[in-house]
Amino acid sequence: MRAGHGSGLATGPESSVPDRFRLEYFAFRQLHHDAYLDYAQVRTGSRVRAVRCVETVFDRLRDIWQAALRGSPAAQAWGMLHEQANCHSDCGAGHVWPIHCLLEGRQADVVLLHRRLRLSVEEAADLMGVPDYTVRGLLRSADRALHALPPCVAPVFTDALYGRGAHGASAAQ
Amino acid sequence: MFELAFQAQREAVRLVAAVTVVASAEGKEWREIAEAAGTTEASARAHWGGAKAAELLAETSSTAGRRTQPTTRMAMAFTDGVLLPVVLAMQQGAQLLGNALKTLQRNLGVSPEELTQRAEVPVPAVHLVVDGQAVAPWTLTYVLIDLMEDDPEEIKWLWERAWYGRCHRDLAAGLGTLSAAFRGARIAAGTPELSAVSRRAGLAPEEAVALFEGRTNPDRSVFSLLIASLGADPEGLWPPQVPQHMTMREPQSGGDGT
Repeated sequence: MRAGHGSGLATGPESSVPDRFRLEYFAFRQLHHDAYLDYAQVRTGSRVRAVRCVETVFDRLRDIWQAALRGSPAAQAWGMLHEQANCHSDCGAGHVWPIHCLLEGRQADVVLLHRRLRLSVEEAADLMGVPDYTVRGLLRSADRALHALPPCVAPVFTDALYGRGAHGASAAQ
Repeated sequence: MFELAFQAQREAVRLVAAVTVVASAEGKEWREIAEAAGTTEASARAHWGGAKAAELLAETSSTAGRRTQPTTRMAMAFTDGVLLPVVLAMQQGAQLLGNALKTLQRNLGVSPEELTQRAEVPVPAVHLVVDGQAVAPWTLTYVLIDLMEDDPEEIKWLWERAWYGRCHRDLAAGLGTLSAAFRGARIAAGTPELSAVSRRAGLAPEEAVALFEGRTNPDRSVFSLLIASLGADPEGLWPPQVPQHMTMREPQSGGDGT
Protein backbone atom coordinates (compact mmCIF):
# COMPACT_ATOMS: atom_id res chain seq x y z
CA MET A 1 0.00 0.00 0.00
CA ARG A 2 2.85 2.32 0.75
CA ALA A 3 3.60 4.46 -2.26
CA GLY A 4 6.21 6.92 -1.11
CA HIS A 5 5.85 10.38 0.29
CA GLY A 6 3.37 12.78 -1.10
CA SER A 7 0.56 12.82 -3.66
CA GLY A 8 2.43 11.05 -6.39
CA LEU A 9 5.42 13.25 -5.83
CA ALA A 10 8.56 11.42 -6.56
CA THR A 11 10.88 11.76 -3.65
CA GLY A 12 13.73 11.50 -6.09
CA PRO A 13 17.31 11.08 -5.07
CA GLU A 14 18.27 11.44 -1.43
CA SER A 15 19.80 14.86 -2.15
CA SER A 16 16.34 16.23 -2.99
CA VAL A 17 15.18 16.03 0.61
CA PRO A 18 16.38 18.05 3.58
CA ASP A 19 18.98 16.54 5.89
CA ARG A 20 16.77 16.82 8.96
CA PHE A 21 13.03 16.85 9.63
CA ARG A 22 12.41 14.95 6.42
CA LEU A 23 9.00 13.60 7.40
CA GLU A 24 7.83 17.09 8.27
CA TYR A 25 9.03 18.29 4.88
CA PHE A 26 7.21 15.48 3.08
CA ALA A 27 4.07 16.15 5.12
CA PHE A 28 4.22 19.83 4.26
CA ARG A 29 4.80 19.09 0.60
CA GLN A 30 1.94 16.65 0.39
CA LEU A 31 -0.38 18.98 2.24
CA HIS A 32 0.17 21.95 -0.06
CA HIS A 33 1.48 20.67 -3.40
CA ASP A 34 -1.80 20.34 -5.30
CA ALA A 35 -3.19 23.66 -4.12
CA TYR A 36 0.09 25.40 -5.01
CA LEU A 37 -0.13 23.89 -8.48
CA ASP A 38 -3.73 25.02 -8.98
CA TYR A 39 -2.86 28.52 -7.81
CA ALA A 40 0.20 28.74 -10.04
CA GLN A 41 -1.75 27.44 -13.02
CA VAL A 42 -4.37 30.14 -12.71
CA ARG A 43 -1.68 32.78 -12.23
CA THR A 44 0.55 31.72 -15.11
CA GLY A 45 -2.07 30.29 -17.46
CA SER A 46 0.11 27.28 -18.15
CA ARG A 47 0.48 23.93 -16.46
CA VAL A 48 4.13 23.74 -17.48
CA ARG A 49 4.97 27.11 -15.96
CA ALA A 50 2.95 26.22 -12.88
CA VAL A 51 4.92 23.02 -12.34
CA ARG A 52 8.14 24.96 -12.76
CA CYS A 53 7.06 27.57 -10.19
CA VAL A 54 6.03 24.97 -7.64
CA GLU A 55 9.15 22.86 -8.04
CA THR A 56 11.31 25.95 -7.60
CA VAL A 57 9.46 26.81 -4.40
CA PHE A 58 9.90 23.33 -2.92
CA ASP A 59 13.57 23.25 -3.94
CA ARG A 60 14.21 26.55 -2.19
CA LEU A 61 12.17 25.52 0.80
CA ARG A 62 14.16 22.31 1.12
CA ASP A 63 17.38 24.31 1.31
CA ILE A 64 16.12 26.42 4.20
CA TRP A 65 13.81 23.83 5.77
CA GLN A 66 15.32 23.81 9.24
CA ALA A 67 15.27 27.59 9.44
CA ALA A 68 11.74 27.66 8.01
CA LEU A 69 10.52 25.37 10.79
CA ARG A 70 11.53 27.96 13.36
CA GLY A 71 8.90 30.29 11.93
CA SER A 72 5.93 29.57 9.70
CA PRO A 73 6.93 27.34 6.77
CA ALA A 74 3.54 27.96 5.14
CA ALA A 75 3.98 31.74 5.18
CA GLN A 76 7.52 31.53 3.84
CA ALA A 77 6.61 29.08 1.11
CA TRP A 78 3.60 31.16 0.12
CA GLY A 79 5.80 34.23 -0.23
CA MET A 80 8.09 32.27 -2.53
CA LEU A 81 5.20 30.94 -4.58
CA HIS A 82 3.67 34.38 -4.97
CA GLU A 83 7.00 35.76 -6.12
CA GLN A 84 7.54 32.87 -8.56
CA ALA A 85 4.07 33.29 -10.00
CA ASN A 86 4.72 37.02 -10.44
CA CYS A 87 7.83 36.21 -12.46
CA HIS A 88 5.93 33.84 -14.74
CA SER A 89 2.79 35.85 -15.38
CA ASP A 90 1.82 39.25 -16.67
CA CYS A 91 -1.30 41.33 -17.15
CA GLY A 92 -1.27 41.09 -20.91
CA ALA A 93 -4.41 40.70 -23.00
CA GLY A 94 -5.95 37.26 -22.94
CA HIS A 95 -5.05 36.44 -19.38
CA VAL A 96 -7.72 34.04 -18.15
CA TRP A 97 -8.15 35.36 -14.61
CA PRO A 98 -6.31 38.67 -14.18
CA ILE A 99 -7.27 39.39 -10.58
CA HIS A 100 -3.66 40.25 -9.76
CA CYS A 101 -3.81 43.07 -12.31
CA LEU A 102 -6.66 44.66 -10.36
CA LEU A 103 -5.89 44.10 -6.69
CA GLU A 104 -2.97 44.23 -4.29
CA GLY A 105 -1.01 40.95 -4.07
CA ARG A 106 -2.42 39.33 -0.92
CA GLN A 107 -5.95 40.56 -1.61
CA ALA A 108 -5.77 39.01 -5.06
CA ASP A 109 -4.37 35.79 -3.62
CA VAL A 110 -7.26 35.27 -1.19
CA VAL A 111 -9.84 36.06 -3.88
CA LEU A 112 -8.21 33.54 -6.20
CA LEU A 113 -8.04 30.86 -3.52
CA HIS A 114 -11.50 31.41 -2.08
CA ARG A 115 -13.56 32.39 -5.11
CA ARG A 116 -11.79 30.66 -7.95
CA LEU A 117 -10.30 27.54 -6.36
CA ARG A 118 -13.18 27.33 -3.87
CA LEU A 119 -11.01 26.80 -0.82
CA SER A 120 -12.67 27.57 2.49
CA VAL A 121 -11.37 30.47 4.57
CA GLU A 122 -9.65 27.95 6.85
CA GLU A 123 -8.00 26.17 3.95
CA ALA A 124 -6.83 29.43 2.38
CA ALA A 125 -5.46 30.60 5.73
CA ASP A 126 -3.52 27.36 6.24
CA LEU A 127 -2.16 27.58 2.72
CA MET A 128 -0.95 31.17 3.13
CA GLY A 129 0.24 30.66 6.68
CA VAL A 130 -1.92 33.46 8.09
CA PRO A 131 -4.77 33.49 10.63
CA ASP A 132 -8.37 33.05 9.49
CA TYR A 133 -9.27 36.61 10.38
CA THR A 134 -6.57 37.94 8.04
CA VAL A 135 -8.13 36.05 5.14
CA ARG A 136 -11.59 37.33 6.06
CA GLY A 137 -10.28 40.88 6.25
CA LEU A 138 -8.53 40.61 2.91
CA LEU A 139 -11.68 39.23 1.30
CA ARG A 140 -13.73 42.12 2.63
CA SER A 141 -11.27 44.73 1.41
CA ALA A 142 -11.01 42.96 -1.95
CA ASP A 143 -14.79 43.03 -2.32
CA ARG A 144 -14.85 46.75 -1.59
CA ALA A 145 -12.10 47.39 -4.13
CA LEU A 146 -13.82 45.29 -6.80
CA HIS A 147 -17.19 46.94 -6.27
CA ALA A 148 -15.53 50.31 -6.69
CA LEU A 149 -14.28 49.39 -10.16
CA PRO A 150 -15.98 51.21 -13.02
CA PRO A 151 -18.34 48.96 -15.03
CA CYS A 152 -16.12 49.22 -18.08
CA VAL A 153 -13.25 47.44 -16.33
CA ALA A 154 -13.02 43.72 -16.97
CA PRO A 155 -16.78 43.02 -16.88
CA VAL A 156 -16.31 39.42 -17.97
CA PHE A 157 -13.90 38.85 -15.14
CA THR A 158 -16.12 40.33 -12.45
CA ASP A 159 -19.15 38.43 -13.79
CA ALA A 160 -17.26 35.17 -13.48
CA LEU A 161 -16.07 36.11 -10.02
CA TYR A 162 -19.53 36.79 -8.65
CA GLY A 163 -21.37 34.19 -10.73
CA ARG A 164 -23.85 36.53 -12.41
CA GLY A 165 -25.11 36.79 -15.94
CA ALA A 166 -24.49 40.44 -16.60
CA HIS A 167 -22.24 42.98 -14.98
CA GLY A 168 -24.10 45.13 -12.55
CA ALA A 169 -26.51 42.45 -11.49
CA SER A 170 -26.86 41.73 -7.81
CA ALA A 171 -23.49 41.12 -6.29
CA ALA A 172 -23.04 37.88 -4.46
CA GLN A 173 -21.61 38.07 -0.99
CA MET B 1 -18.61 37.87 34.13
CA PHE B 2 -21.14 35.14 35.02
CA GLU B 3 -21.02 33.90 31.46
CA LEU B 4 -17.23 33.62 31.64
CA ALA B 5 -17.39 31.75 34.94
CA PHE B 6 -19.98 29.28 33.65
CA GLN B 7 -17.97 28.79 30.50
CA ALA B 8 -14.86 28.03 32.55
CA GLN B 9 -16.87 25.56 34.61
CA ARG B 10 -18.12 23.78 31.46
CA GLU B 11 -14.60 23.60 30.05
CA ALA B 12 -13.31 22.17 33.35
CA VAL B 13 -15.92 19.40 33.20
CA ARG B 14 -14.88 18.63 29.62
CA LEU B 15 -11.23 18.56 30.64
CA VAL B 16 -11.90 16.08 33.45
CA ALA B 17 -13.85 13.90 30.98
CA ALA B 18 -10.94 13.99 28.52
CA VAL B 19 -8.42 13.07 31.20
CA THR B 20 -10.64 10.21 32.32
CA VAL B 21 -10.90 8.89 28.75
CA VAL B 22 -7.13 8.93 28.46
CA ALA B 23 -6.64 7.30 31.86
CA SER B 24 -9.13 4.61 30.95
CA ALA B 25 -7.44 4.03 27.59
CA GLU B 26 -4.13 3.70 29.39
CA GLY B 27 -5.56 0.83 31.42
CA LYS B 28 -6.37 2.63 34.68
CA GLU B 29 -9.20 1.03 36.58
CA TRP B 30 -12.34 2.89 37.62
CA ARG B 31 -11.39 2.32 41.23
CA GLU B 32 -8.15 4.28 40.71
CA ILE B 33 -9.89 7.05 38.79
CA ALA B 34 -12.53 7.36 41.49
CA GLU B 35 -9.86 7.47 44.18
CA ALA B 36 -7.99 10.24 42.39
CA ALA B 37 -11.22 12.20 41.99
CA GLY B 38 -12.20 11.69 45.61
CA THR B 39 -15.47 9.96 44.79
CA THR B 40 -16.95 6.50 44.56
CA GLU B 41 -16.42 4.15 41.65
CA ALA B 42 -20.13 4.18 40.79
CA SER B 43 -20.20 7.97 40.79
CA ALA B 44 -17.09 8.17 38.62
CA ARG B 45 -18.60 5.74 36.11
CA ALA B 46 -21.85 7.69 36.05
CA HIS B 47 -20.09 11.00 35.49
CA TRP B 48 -17.36 10.00 33.08
CA GLY B 49 -18.27 6.56 31.75
CA GLY B 50 -17.90 5.90 27.99
CA ALA B 51 -21.13 7.36 26.62
CA LYS B 52 -21.24 10.20 29.12
CA ALA B 53 -17.62 11.20 28.42
CA ALA B 54 -18.19 11.06 24.67
CA GLU B 55 -21.26 13.25 25.11
CA LEU B 56 -19.32 15.75 27.20
CA LEU B 57 -16.41 15.86 24.80
CA ALA B 58 -18.69 16.17 21.80
CA GLU B 59 -20.74 18.91 23.41
CA THR B 60 -20.76 22.01 21.28
CA SER B 61 -19.95 25.14 23.24
CA SER B 62 -19.57 28.69 22.08
CA THR B 63 -15.80 28.39 22.13
CA ALA B 64 -15.01 24.84 21.11
CA GLY B 65 -14.41 23.56 17.64
CA ARG B 66 -13.96 25.17 14.28
CA ARG B 67 -17.64 24.97 13.26
CA THR B 68 -18.77 27.15 16.11
CA GLN B 69 -15.70 29.33 16.27
CA PRO B 70 -16.17 32.21 13.88
CA THR B 71 -13.18 34.26 14.97
CA THR B 72 -9.98 32.27 14.64
CA ARG B 73 -8.70 28.77 15.07
CA MET B 74 -6.11 27.79 17.62
CA ALA B 75 -4.39 25.30 15.35
CA MET B 76 -3.10 25.35 11.79
CA ALA B 77 -2.94 22.30 9.57
CA PHE B 78 0.85 22.23 9.65
CA THR B 79 1.98 22.63 13.19
CA ASP B 80 3.20 20.69 16.20
CA GLY B 81 1.96 20.03 19.68
CA VAL B 82 -1.67 20.96 19.15
CA LEU B 83 -4.72 18.73 18.94
CA LEU B 84 -8.10 19.88 17.74
CA PRO B 85 -10.78 18.70 20.19
CA VAL B 86 -13.69 17.01 18.50
CA VAL B 87 -17.10 18.67 18.59
CA LEU B 88 -20.37 17.31 17.31
CA ALA B 89 -19.97 18.73 13.81
CA MET B 90 -16.73 16.88 13.21
CA GLN B 91 -17.34 13.77 15.27
CA GLN B 92 -18.04 11.45 12.39
CA GLY B 93 -14.98 12.54 10.42
CA ALA B 94 -12.72 12.22 13.46
CA GLN B 95 -14.10 8.77 14.20
CA LEU B 96 -13.48 7.63 10.64
CA LEU B 97 -9.91 8.92 10.77
CA GLY B 98 -9.37 7.31 14.16
CA ASN B 99 -10.70 3.98 12.87
CA ALA B 100 -8.32 4.12 9.93
CA LEU B 101 -5.35 4.76 12.22
CA LYS B 102 -6.52 1.95 14.50
CA THR B 103 -6.65 -0.46 11.54
CA LEU B 104 -3.11 0.46 10.48
CA GLN B 105 -1.93 0.06 14.06
CA ARG B 106 -3.56 -3.35 14.32
CA ASN B 107 -2.24 -4.48 10.93
CA LEU B 108 1.30 -3.59 11.96
CA GLY B 109 0.86 -5.09 15.42
CA VAL B 110 2.24 -2.06 17.20
CA SER B 111 0.92 -0.73 20.50
CA PRO B 112 -0.02 2.94 21.02
CA GLU B 113 2.83 3.17 23.52
CA GLU B 114 5.38 2.00 20.94
CA LEU B 115 3.89 4.39 18.44
CA THR B 116 4.10 7.36 20.76
CA GLN B 117 7.66 6.48 21.59
CA ARG B 118 8.64 6.37 17.94
CA ALA B 119 6.70 9.52 17.06
CA GLU B 120 8.05 11.30 20.14
CA VAL B 121 4.63 12.55 21.19
CA PRO B 122 2.76 12.12 24.49
CA VAL B 123 0.78 8.90 24.93
CA PRO B 124 -2.56 10.70 25.46
CA ALA B 125 -2.20 12.45 22.11
CA VAL B 126 -2.15 9.17 20.21
CA HIS B 127 -4.96 7.72 22.33
CA LEU B 128 -7.19 10.73 21.71
CA VAL B 129 -6.52 10.70 17.97
CA VAL B 130 -6.98 6.95 17.53
CA ASP B 131 -10.16 7.06 19.62
CA GLY B 132 -11.56 9.81 17.43
CA GLN B 133 -11.73 12.26 20.36
CA ALA B 134 -9.31 14.71 18.77
CA VAL B 135 -7.81 15.44 15.38
CA ALA B 136 -4.08 16.01 15.05
CA PRO B 137 -2.60 18.48 12.56
CA TRP B 138 -1.42 16.93 9.30
CA THR B 139 2.21 16.88 10.48
CA LEU B 140 1.56 14.45 13.34
CA THR B 141 -1.02 12.47 11.37
CA TYR B 142 1.49 12.06 8.55
CA VAL B 143 4.22 10.93 10.94
CA LEU B 144 1.91 8.35 12.55
CA ILE B 145 0.82 6.95 9.18
CA ASP B 146 4.42 6.82 8.03
CA LEU B 147 5.43 4.95 11.18
CA MET B 148 2.64 2.50 10.50
CA GLU B 149 4.07 1.95 7.03
CA ASP B 150 1.16 3.13 4.96
CA ASP B 151 0.75 5.77 2.29
CA PRO B 152 -0.36 9.06 3.87
CA GLU B 153 -2.19 9.99 0.67
CA GLU B 154 -4.76 7.29 1.36
CA ILE B 155 -5.59 8.73 4.74
CA LYS B 156 -5.29 12.41 3.77
CA TRP B 157 -8.84 12.43 2.43
CA LEU B 158 -10.15 11.28 5.80
CA TRP B 159 -7.96 13.80 7.60
CA GLU B 160 -9.27 16.68 5.46
CA ARG B 161 -12.82 15.57 6.21
CA ALA B 162 -12.05 15.56 9.94
CA TRP B 163 -9.99 18.77 9.99
CA TYR B 164 -11.79 21.02 7.52
CA GLY B 165 -15.16 19.27 7.49
CA ARG B 166 -14.89 18.54 3.78
CA CYS B 167 -12.55 17.16 1.15
CA HIS B 168 -11.31 19.52 -1.48
CA ARG B 169 -10.66 17.82 -4.80
CA ASP B 170 -11.07 18.91 -8.39
CA LEU B 171 -13.14 16.19 -10.00
CA ALA B 172 -12.08 17.45 -13.40
CA ALA B 173 -8.45 16.71 -12.56
CA GLY B 174 -8.56 13.26 -14.09
CA LEU B 175 -9.01 9.59 -13.41
CA GLY B 176 -8.56 8.25 -9.94
CA THR B 177 -9.38 11.48 -8.13
CA LEU B 178 -11.77 9.68 -5.82
CA SER B 179 -9.90 6.42 -5.41
CA ALA B 180 -8.00 7.64 -2.34
CA ALA B 181 -11.37 8.22 -0.64
CA PHE B 182 -12.33 4.60 -1.30
CA ARG B 183 -9.03 3.26 -0.07
CA GLY B 184 -9.13 5.43 3.05
CA ALA B 185 -12.71 4.46 3.87
CA ARG B 186 -11.81 0.80 3.37
CA ILE B 187 -8.94 1.09 5.83
CA ALA B 188 -11.29 2.81 8.29
CA ALA B 189 -13.70 -0.09 7.88
CA GLY B 190 -10.96 -2.53 8.90
CA THR B 191 -9.79 -3.46 5.38
CA PRO B 192 -12.62 -5.82 4.38
CA GLU B 193 -12.15 -8.05 1.32
CA LEU B 194 -12.92 -6.26 -1.93
CA SER B 195 -15.30 -9.03 -2.95
CA ALA B 196 -17.37 -8.39 0.18
CA VAL B 197 -17.30 -4.64 -0.43
CA SER B 198 -18.44 -4.97 -4.03
CA ARG B 199 -21.20 -7.40 -3.03
CA ARG B 200 -22.52 -5.04 -0.37
CA ALA B 201 -22.43 -2.12 -2.82
CA GLY B 202 -24.11 -4.17 -5.55
CA LEU B 203 -21.19 -3.68 -7.94
CA ALA B 204 -19.38 -6.18 -10.12
CA PRO B 205 -16.09 -7.19 -8.48
CA GLU B 206 -14.04 -5.96 -11.42
CA GLU B 207 -15.84 -2.62 -11.31
CA ALA B 208 -14.98 -2.22 -7.63
CA VAL B 209 -11.34 -3.11 -8.29
CA ALA B 210 -11.16 -0.50 -11.07
CA LEU B 211 -12.60 2.12 -8.74
CA PHE B 212 -10.19 1.30 -5.92
CA GLU B 213 -7.24 1.36 -8.29
CA GLY B 214 -8.31 4.70 -9.74
CA ARG B 215 -8.73 3.38 -13.27
CA THR B 216 -12.18 4.88 -13.47
CA ASN B 217 -14.09 7.71 -11.80
CA PRO B 218 -17.54 6.89 -10.43
CA ASP B 219 -20.60 9.07 -10.71
CA ARG B 220 -22.08 10.30 -7.49
CA SER B 221 -24.54 7.44 -7.01
CA VAL B 222 -21.84 4.76 -7.39
CA PHE B 223 -19.57 6.76 -5.09
CA SER B 224 -22.33 6.89 -2.47
CA LEU B 225 -23.06 3.16 -2.76
CA LEU B 226 -19.45 2.21 -2.33
CA ILE B 227 -18.71 4.58 0.54
CA ALA B 228 -21.94 3.61 2.34
CA SER B 229 -21.04 -0.07 1.95
CA LEU B 230 -17.87 0.76 3.89
CA GLY B 231 -19.93 2.22 6.71
CA ALA B 232 -19.06 5.87 6.04
CA ASP B 233 -21.17 8.89 5.17
CA PRO B 234 -20.91 9.62 1.42
CA GLU B 235 -22.05 13.22 1.86
CA GLY B 236 -19.03 14.18 3.92
CA LEU B 237 -16.55 12.63 1.55
CA TRP B 238 -17.91 13.91 -1.77
CA PRO B 239 -15.97 17.01 -2.88
CA PRO B 240 -17.99 20.23 -2.73
CA GLN B 241 -19.91 21.18 -5.84
CA VAL B 242 -18.04 23.72 -7.90
CA PRO B 243 -20.25 26.09 -9.91
CA GLN B 244 -20.02 25.63 -13.67
CA HIS B 245 -18.47 29.03 -14.31
CA MET B 246 -15.63 28.19 -11.91
CA THR B 247 -14.70 24.89 -13.49
CA MET B 248 -13.39 26.23 -16.80
CA ARG B 249 -9.89 24.89 -17.03
CA GLU B 250 -7.14 26.73 -18.80
CA PRO B 251 -5.70 25.05 -21.87
CA GLN B 252 -2.91 22.81 -20.70
CA SER B 253 -0.48 24.14 -23.25
CA GLY B 254 2.71 22.30 -23.80
CA GLY B 255 4.77 25.43 -24.34
CA ASP B 256 5.66 27.69 -21.47
CA GLY B 257 5.88 30.84 -23.46
CA THR B 258 9.14 31.90 -21.92
